Amino acid sequence: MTNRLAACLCAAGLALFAALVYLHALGQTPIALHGDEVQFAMQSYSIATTGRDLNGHSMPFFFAIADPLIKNNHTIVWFQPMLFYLQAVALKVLPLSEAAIRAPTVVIGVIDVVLLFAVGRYVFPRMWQAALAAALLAISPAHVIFSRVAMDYICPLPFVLGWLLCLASYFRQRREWLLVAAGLLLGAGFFSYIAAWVMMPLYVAVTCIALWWTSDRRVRAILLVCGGFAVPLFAGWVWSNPVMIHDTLLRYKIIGAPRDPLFGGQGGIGVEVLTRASVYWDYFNPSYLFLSGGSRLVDSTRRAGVLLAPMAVFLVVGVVDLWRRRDVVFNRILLAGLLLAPVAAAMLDERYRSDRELVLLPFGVLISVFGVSRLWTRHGVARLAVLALCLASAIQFAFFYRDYLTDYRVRSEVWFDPYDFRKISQYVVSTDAEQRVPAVYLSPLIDYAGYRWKFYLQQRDRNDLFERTQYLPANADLSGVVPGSLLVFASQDPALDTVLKTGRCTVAATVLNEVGSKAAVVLRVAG
Amino acid sequence: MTSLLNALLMYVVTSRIWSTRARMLATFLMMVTPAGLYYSRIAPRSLFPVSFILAWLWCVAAAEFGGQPRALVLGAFVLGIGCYSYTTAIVLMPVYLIITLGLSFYRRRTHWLPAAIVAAFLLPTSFGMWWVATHRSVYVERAERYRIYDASRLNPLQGMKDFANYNNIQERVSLYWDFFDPQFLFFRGGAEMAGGYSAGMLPAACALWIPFGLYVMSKRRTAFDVVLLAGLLAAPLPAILVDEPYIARRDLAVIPFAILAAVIGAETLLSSGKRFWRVVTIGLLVTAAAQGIAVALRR
Repeated sequence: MTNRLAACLCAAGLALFAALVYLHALGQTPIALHGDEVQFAMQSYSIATTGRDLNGHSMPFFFAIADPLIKNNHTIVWFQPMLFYLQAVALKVLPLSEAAIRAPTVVIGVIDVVLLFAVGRYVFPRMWQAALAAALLAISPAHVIFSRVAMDYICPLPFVLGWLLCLASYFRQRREWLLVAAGLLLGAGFFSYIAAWVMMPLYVAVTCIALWWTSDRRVRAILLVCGGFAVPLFAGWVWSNPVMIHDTLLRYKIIGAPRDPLFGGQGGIGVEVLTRASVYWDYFNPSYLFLSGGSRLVDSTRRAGVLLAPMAVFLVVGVVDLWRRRDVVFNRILLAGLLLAPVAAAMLDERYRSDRELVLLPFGVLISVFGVSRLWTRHGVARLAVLALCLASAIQFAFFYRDYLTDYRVRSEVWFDPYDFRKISQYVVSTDAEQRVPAVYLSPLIDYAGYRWKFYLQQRDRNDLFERTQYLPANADLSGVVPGSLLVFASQDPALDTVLKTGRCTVAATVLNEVGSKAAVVLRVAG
Repeated sequence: MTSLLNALLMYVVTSRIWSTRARMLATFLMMVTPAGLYYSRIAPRSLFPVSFILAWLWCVAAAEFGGQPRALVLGAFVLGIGCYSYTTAIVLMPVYLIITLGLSFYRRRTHWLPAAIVAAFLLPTSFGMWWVATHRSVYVERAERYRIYDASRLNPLQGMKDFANYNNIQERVSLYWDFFDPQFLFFRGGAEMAGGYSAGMLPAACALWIPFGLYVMSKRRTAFDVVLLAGLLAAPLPAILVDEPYIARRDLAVIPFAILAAVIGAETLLSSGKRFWRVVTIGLLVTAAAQGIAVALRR
């Protein structure tokens, strides 16, 4: 068997393994759709069926996430385009469902694994090292979790891995087109997720510095990378809505927030920088990286870290090993990648948001495998330790995956859909089938209500019911509400008691979540 | 007073190992350290362990640089007495005893030395252990006061099991990491020091010198450097037993080790041939002095 064939078989095996892990029970775990997932889903569905987004724009570059229940709703929330179009392609061939809208991120996850194997083939001398790197990425808790949700956090990874592949290949073969390709990938990746706005230019800067150190014709090499990077950016700039950049800067409080006239920030630039430095420091907290993961149950199970715990040893050894061999330029790039990974997250002053620093994964895994390789070169106890830690990684993954599919599924429900809109829609649709419901009113305090409602009604092909839906007026004023209408409240909604006290409504149904707690209440307006 | 005593002790410790300039620098930094100045005023007891740690470091330096291995026995005795200085010392001193033992094993000078070190430590501490054994209510009260475990219901072994659950370990590891947060160490010394003191535990200038110092120490890796590194890493251990982040008084043991690392860094920069680094270091010294005066003058 030739080496190339063996590599192809190995890559195919890894892809198959990753696909099995990521596809298993995809519609059931996570248990419900997160608000962001339904936003992606409904915009993509609209693109797939009409060629326009929910705001009526034909094939937009950036998507304005306006509330579909409010006509001409103004929003400053804009999402990056990549996942919408991938989902639209998926929804062209698959019916609208939880699994269908999550399928594109599964594909991205599998591509990541294969790409990391390809990068590993360039940077490691043995195939088992590349395979180990790919396998460690495939079973990294954060990678598993984000490959199974219809959110765009994982979208920059293929571009970062593609960029690394081009660079690894360039430093070996010195073919200039690889630099253009690296720049193009970073430029295209710029539109994959908002954090990429910070990270991709940083990677361009890292590439330029690396080329300055190593290339004979350094200016030409740098121009090729920057030129490649500029092409997608220019196309995006031409295609995009000019308001988008302003709105996004406003949304993340980069502009528009009250500022100190001297220093910029509210507490002065010094305080801002120190706070960000502290946030950056926390992104290397071993507890976060190896034990607990992101702070939200959407991002982690809280029983496993961003990376598997045994990788802590490999990562430390790998960092020391690469630092000692920092004369190799690619080693410097990997170390820089690891150090830069939390920059975007730190800029937004958000601690332990693994979704914002998923680019850490390829660097962390590659450096860990350098650590494995370093320990493997020592015989005796070190080799035994490597085997024991690899076995421990596999065991931890088994525990993590079992928890993910069982207990986590239930305990994360309130993070994904605290109201259980699937059951609400089921009740309302069945009630409407028995006796026509004149109107449905949703409490304005329900998060993502318009999108959640639209998704489940669309899934049941009941768009007519959506047309009869609106938000409950302010102060829960029922004067204009048609008798027989249904009102939907979250169980903790303070307006619920007020409405019940009017005596005009009766409780039609109480929706319970998986653990039997009250999630939502549906009221009927008396005739 | 405690702060002044510690500065004097720092001078004595460094007189064994460094040049006059480095000695003066270490003493100066010890004097202007914001946490030292602050706690010597509001809670001088919390600084007592630092004095014992400095005395122990003097013994370690005597053993390492003076060729007097018996000084380690004296060091262990000092650690034993230090256990009575402040609550944090009950955790810290045994850890530093282990470091002392590690050093004695590493040097392999005499067979009796490790046994003598342990005996020297037990000599003063045995009285305390006997007292705690006969006054169990005090132990129970302490364990509950610091929320380590429910000592009224569980025995120490059960308490240990209760303490070592996965969530708790996550939290304590996170807490440990936070005690090395640069913002806490160099710029905002946590909840207690925050009120009116825009200073960290250590002079802000150390934020530059300590990384240089640690780099130099990791390159040359002498036994004394390893002791300093181990001491620095062990310093937050008492603080993480109590689940309260950024409480500087529980982490004061970090001061002597951090200052010694900073001096190594500053010395490296001052000795470098580059004028830029010399100017930067001198500039930072001025800021450290200004910061120290500002903290000392604040009420």
